[in-house]
Amino acid sequence: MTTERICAYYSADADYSARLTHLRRRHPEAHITAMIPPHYAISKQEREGVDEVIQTERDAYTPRDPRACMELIRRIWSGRYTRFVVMHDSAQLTLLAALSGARRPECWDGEGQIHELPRFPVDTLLRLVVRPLLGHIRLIGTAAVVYVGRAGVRGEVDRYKASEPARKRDLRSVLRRRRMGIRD
Amino acid sequence: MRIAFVDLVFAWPPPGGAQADLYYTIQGLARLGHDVRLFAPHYDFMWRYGDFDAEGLPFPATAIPCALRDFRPKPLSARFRQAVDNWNPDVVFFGFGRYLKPYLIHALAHYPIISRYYMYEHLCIRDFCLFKNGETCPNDFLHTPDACRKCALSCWTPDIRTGKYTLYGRELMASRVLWPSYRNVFTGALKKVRMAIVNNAMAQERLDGICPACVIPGGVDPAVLEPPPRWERPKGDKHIILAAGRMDDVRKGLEVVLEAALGLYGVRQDFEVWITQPTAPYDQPWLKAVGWHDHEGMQALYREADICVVPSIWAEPYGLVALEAMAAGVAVCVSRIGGLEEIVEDEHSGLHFEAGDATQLALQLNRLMDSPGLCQTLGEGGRARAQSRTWDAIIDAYYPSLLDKVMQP
Repeated sequence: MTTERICAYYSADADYSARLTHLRRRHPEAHITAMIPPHYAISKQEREGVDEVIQTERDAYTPRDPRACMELIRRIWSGRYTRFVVMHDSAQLTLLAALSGARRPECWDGEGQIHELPRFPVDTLLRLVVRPLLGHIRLIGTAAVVYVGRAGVRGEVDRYKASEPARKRDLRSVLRRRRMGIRD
Repeated sequence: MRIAFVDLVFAWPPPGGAQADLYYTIQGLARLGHDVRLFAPHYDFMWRYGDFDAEGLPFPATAIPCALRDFRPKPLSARFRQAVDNWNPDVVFFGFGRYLKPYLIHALAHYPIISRYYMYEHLCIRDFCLFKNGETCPNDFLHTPDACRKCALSCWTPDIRTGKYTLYGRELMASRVLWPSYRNVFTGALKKVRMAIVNNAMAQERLDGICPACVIPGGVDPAVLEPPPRWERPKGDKHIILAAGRMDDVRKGLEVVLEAALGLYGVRQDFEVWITQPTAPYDQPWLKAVGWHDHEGMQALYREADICVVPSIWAEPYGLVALEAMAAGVAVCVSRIGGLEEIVEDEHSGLHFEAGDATQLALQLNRLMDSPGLCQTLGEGGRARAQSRTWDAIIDAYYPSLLDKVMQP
């Protein structure tokens, strides 16, 4: 049996360290590569948890610079990964995962979920269109259920709305809301 | 007594306080001679939750495999029911579970049930925080279900519209929380609970007339009491004010500390504010981001700190950060809100300030920095209070009588 080759692609604002730890725990035998941007100071603990660390050439990639993107994809391809893990379910990262050539592109999101991502770029584009379309239909249905259906408490009074005038008179509350940028 | 523990988000090492709470409760009850076993799912679609090595835990545990297609009320309830029935416990203790927990309570209602609520998941179906627009929400799902459903819908609209579900959003839709029938499932489950355990008096009051409830505070790991505190600070040092915890969460009130510190900096410059974030949100000479820290790293930070601020603006159910800082002998300054108000006795084991009031916080910080003696007195008081709140002490004080009460017919 061939060893699984996993690439964990770093993206900003992600708890990368925790993901690397969990990746290793889930795949103890796999060859794990951490792919990080040049500015990322990898800790000793992170380095010890992976088999290989690869630095990308840039901190961020944008489709406006296709040459750099192509170079990144070529580099990922050369790793021949079986599993490519990104940290956010964004359109760009999903597309990158599909272009990675890995059999199993995945998103390990910040909340602890693992989403399987589409394997091919065409599926990615389809997903980008179909998912919100279905989402809107579902939202209309759900809103109808919420606004038409009653949960059955007689004479229910929305206490939050009822206390609104008092809140507006309470200076401390007004200042706190203003500080938090909350507008009524 | 055979006690089955059921938790839907257990993981070890713990990603949060709820998992640690359950772990020490199980360990404590095993120490008292009870036959215990944990039943928790092992999700193949999550990396943060459901990840534990059943063999490596100090108590018996059963990992119940759960794929995404099973993450729905019926299949999940059936799996847990089968596993728990095979073990045949005397009592079932529910730990953390979110929208699916009421369904599981129904599935295991043929046993006496104790249910622990770590946040306000028995009151708030939006995000379990009971916190709306900067204040504690007066509504709750038990008394104003329709208002809460509308509130939850507005919160989860982006998830539903884009089809990109966050973890809670996925569970919300799978559990049909927004359907009118969920309220019956929810209240029906609470009525089947022999004892609900909550963290503070407000959470308890709102359960009046629904089910019996008691307040049992969380405890501290005895390891945080070591090493002993550092009472003396080298002269010439700056005062270190530590704002620990998930400060990227707006409810934790980082802005209040920053506003207070900005005001104070005009008067004195002998302090630094350390925040446990990878990056500082503003460029200020007195502000330092010290990054995320594990348990040991936090111990080192507490030893460096002179004052620990817990400025939460929401009714923090418990406030473990405050208790850990107290255990380390650091003078704490906390918002007068939720569980924090109950953990820290004003002027004895710490100082209070009005939640969200930066001026009051600045005055309290100034007072503490002017008086090292006060810092030490509060630090000693806090440490004594934390010593009385170790897990063993909490288990011994509350659980034997609770189990007796629950077993009464």
